Amino acid sequence: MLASEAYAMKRQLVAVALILGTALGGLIAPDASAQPVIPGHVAKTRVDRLTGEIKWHDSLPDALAEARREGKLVFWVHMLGQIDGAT
Amino acid sequence: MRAVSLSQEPAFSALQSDFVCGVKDISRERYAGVSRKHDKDGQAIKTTNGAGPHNLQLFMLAPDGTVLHCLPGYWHPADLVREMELAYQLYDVWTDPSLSRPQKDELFRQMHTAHVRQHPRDMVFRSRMQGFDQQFEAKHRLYTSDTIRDPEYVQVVLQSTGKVPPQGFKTTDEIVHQRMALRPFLPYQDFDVARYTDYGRPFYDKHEDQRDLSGQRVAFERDRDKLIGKTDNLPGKRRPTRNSFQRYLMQRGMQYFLRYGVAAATR
Repeated sequence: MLASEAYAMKRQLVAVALILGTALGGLIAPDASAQPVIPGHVAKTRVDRLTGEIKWHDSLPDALAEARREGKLVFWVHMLGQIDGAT
Repeated sequence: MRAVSLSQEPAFSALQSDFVCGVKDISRERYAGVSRKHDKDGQAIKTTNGAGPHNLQLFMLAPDGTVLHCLPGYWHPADLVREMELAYQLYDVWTDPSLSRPQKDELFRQMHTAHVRQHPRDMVFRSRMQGFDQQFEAKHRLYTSDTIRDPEYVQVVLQSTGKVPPQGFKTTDEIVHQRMALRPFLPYQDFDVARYTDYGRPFYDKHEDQRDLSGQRVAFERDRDKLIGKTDNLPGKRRPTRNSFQRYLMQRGMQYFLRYGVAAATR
């Protein structure tokens, strides 16, 4: 093999390695902006506290009536799903 | 939201002592967004203020049902309490017998507009709009969206780099107060939730259950059966269509029925 052919082959190999490295690196590189998650059992404890220690009305007229009696505002949440179940 | 904001201090104590709480499932409402379904014991993750505006709305109402404040999407517990305090100040205005209705409305506008200027830097930082929501706004309503501070700048950067520049957009805390200032003391039933919460894409999910504890995403499942919300509006949703062969069979069936079925019935 001529020296020039060997050099060309070496360049091609380096190029392929660079392309593969970039592609695989993009797939497996960790996301630097990732935030730690709250484990499921901790999330469940928190939701249980939220729904166990605070009464959640599912009727707005009832919530407004109680707010009038107690002189408070109403915190009315629109959400996908159930506050004590799947959301 | 349940596990990372409402159940956390100082929001939890404020809810417990100063508010009567209630909840409504909006899954079938026309303005609802879409998310992956999360069980109560599923993993949770913090996000930015105002993220997921179509999937969650936090109303603060006077006891007569008047809307004092509405926060779309997730809010950090400390920032949520800051907004709760504003709601109580607005309630004082609403119940002040010495003020006329026009005076109350003007104060409502002023207080919402002024409040955003008082937000601390860390709250403003937590209120940057999600990148995919910025892309949605730039792609679908570059020159009509009230979420974009400088449309021409966004367009130039988008064309040259293919990416949206975050600094071309307003923060969600600013958007919320600007939109609220246009809706002084509205009754809850007259509050236009669809328009008020309309920024960013309808689908919002952080894939909490597909991450390890450090937050790195380790699974890439895309199962449409696990979605919750108004999935009819999702782009790419498969709708039943008839292909030409089905239409041909349908036509032939009808012709056959008319020709022979009706003839047999009248014979």
